[in-house]
Amino acid sequence: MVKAQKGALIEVSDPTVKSVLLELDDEHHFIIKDLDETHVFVNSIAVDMIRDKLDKIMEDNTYKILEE
Amino acid sequence: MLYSANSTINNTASESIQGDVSVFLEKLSDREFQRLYTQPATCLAIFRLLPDLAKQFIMRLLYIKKDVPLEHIKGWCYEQYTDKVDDSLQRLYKLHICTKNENDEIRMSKVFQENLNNALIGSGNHTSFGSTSTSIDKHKVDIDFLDKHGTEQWEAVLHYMVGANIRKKPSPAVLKLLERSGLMAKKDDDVKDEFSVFTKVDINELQITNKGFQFLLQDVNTQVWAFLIQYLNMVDDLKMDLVEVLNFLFQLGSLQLGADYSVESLTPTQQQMLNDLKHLGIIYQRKRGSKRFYPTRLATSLTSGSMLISKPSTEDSGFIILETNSRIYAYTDSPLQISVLNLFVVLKARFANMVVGMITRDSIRSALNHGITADQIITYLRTHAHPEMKKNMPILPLTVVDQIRLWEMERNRLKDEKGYLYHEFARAEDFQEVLNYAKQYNVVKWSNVKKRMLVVTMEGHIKVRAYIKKRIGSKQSSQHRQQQQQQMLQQRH
Repeated sequence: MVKAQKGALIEVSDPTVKSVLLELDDEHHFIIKDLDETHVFVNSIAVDMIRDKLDKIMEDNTYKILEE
Repeated sequence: MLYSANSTINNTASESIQGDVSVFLEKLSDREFQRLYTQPATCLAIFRLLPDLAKQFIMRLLYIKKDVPLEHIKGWCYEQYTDKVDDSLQRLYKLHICTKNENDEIRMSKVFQENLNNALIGSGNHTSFGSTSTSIDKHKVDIDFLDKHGTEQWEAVLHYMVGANIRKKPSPAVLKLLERSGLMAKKDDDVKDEFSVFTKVDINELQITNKGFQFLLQDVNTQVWAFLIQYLNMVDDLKMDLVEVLNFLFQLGSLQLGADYSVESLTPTQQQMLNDLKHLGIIYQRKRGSKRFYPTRLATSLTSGSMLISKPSTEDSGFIILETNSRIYAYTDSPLQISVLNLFVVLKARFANMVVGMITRDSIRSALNHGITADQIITYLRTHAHPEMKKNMPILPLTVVDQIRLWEMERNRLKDEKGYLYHEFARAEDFQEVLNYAKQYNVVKWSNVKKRMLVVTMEGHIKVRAYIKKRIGSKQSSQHRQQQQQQMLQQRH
């Protein structure tokens, strides 16, 4: 029987982001279905949290030139 | 920066600055349009706002008092430009200048026809273009003074917005406008009822919003129009007549800089407006009760299109030098320009006539968080580039421009949209049918035939769900009925 599930479709720009999302999912379990390389279907409540965490992880991994 | 804007990051992009009056006009009713067109100055101003092809059509139709078949108009242009013809005609329909009847014939509004003609040949109602004062002004002012006055008044408002150097607080009317337009907001956002906005505006409580930051990066003409459009939106609340207000604005656009005009020929509504516009520096009046007023350059350039580059201060408008290493040198001592730069530059040092800064990832990100786009930053840098920079081709170093764009793209790693996921379709045909159905309504966000999964939008969900129920439900019930019939038959035997 067909199932309909409410949630949010997330489209990511590159596989890097996707793998970060999978990593985050291990801890928070928000992914409902992993669709393909650039799409995942998640619990819509988690979207803001995902954005925040992703932003932080990406930020930590950015090289910054230190200005004197 | 005073403002922390984490929660509003994502919804600011849709709220852009509205600086185009023709978009506002399209909301009016036919009656309002025909009343507007009774003023020759308005007809001329609207004519000037139109694209070239539309102007051409108007000129050709101006003296034709009959319906003109659409094919004839199309025949005036080469066939490959039919799209452009349609676009121009659409504009004319929307502004109620032309109407198309059921036989595909075009007719121009009589009122518009007559009054544009009056504007061109100078006949008919003369006060439409403002009536010049008959007496000689004892306190005559020259164009330089008007330019200075206009710029000062206008910049005072902008200064107030960035909170720099408040020598003079803007008038309550201006403050209301700033708040209503969403360029500034009260510090505590709890009070959101419309009524309180009008009864009490405490100037100490206002602070600039994201929209306000974007506003600062626009050119003056867009800024002025954005303000005036907000004013037009408020007209009903102020119990003013929209048509009179519009007529006056368009009239201002056709006045002559440096000439003085009589207040007496204006309607009471328009005299009230005069007072509000005075505070913005759009017009100059020596005293409140004065019988004459002077339009400033802000007024006379209102309807000259977006080509308002001939600002009074052409020389010092270019003051920014940007190096390939993202360092920026700005030759300015204006607190306004420095505050604007501060939106997206880390300022390192300040001297008497210049500031030195640096464009960094963090500085650009903070600007982006305020809802400013990379394009706005780049356009601002380009238009204010130092004359020495303007000799380069391209004007700005490509490395820096690209980097700013990359930093913007980097923020949009995720796109999310709420929706419904349909999966576990029993049969491939069922899936294909549902998919086709959903595609008709353009509600499919993602689909995969192999996995038999599709995601539809929130709006599409109701339709798709109903379809599935009807379609698959009916199939099952018909199967069910068949089985029952077979059982009955078997029982009889």
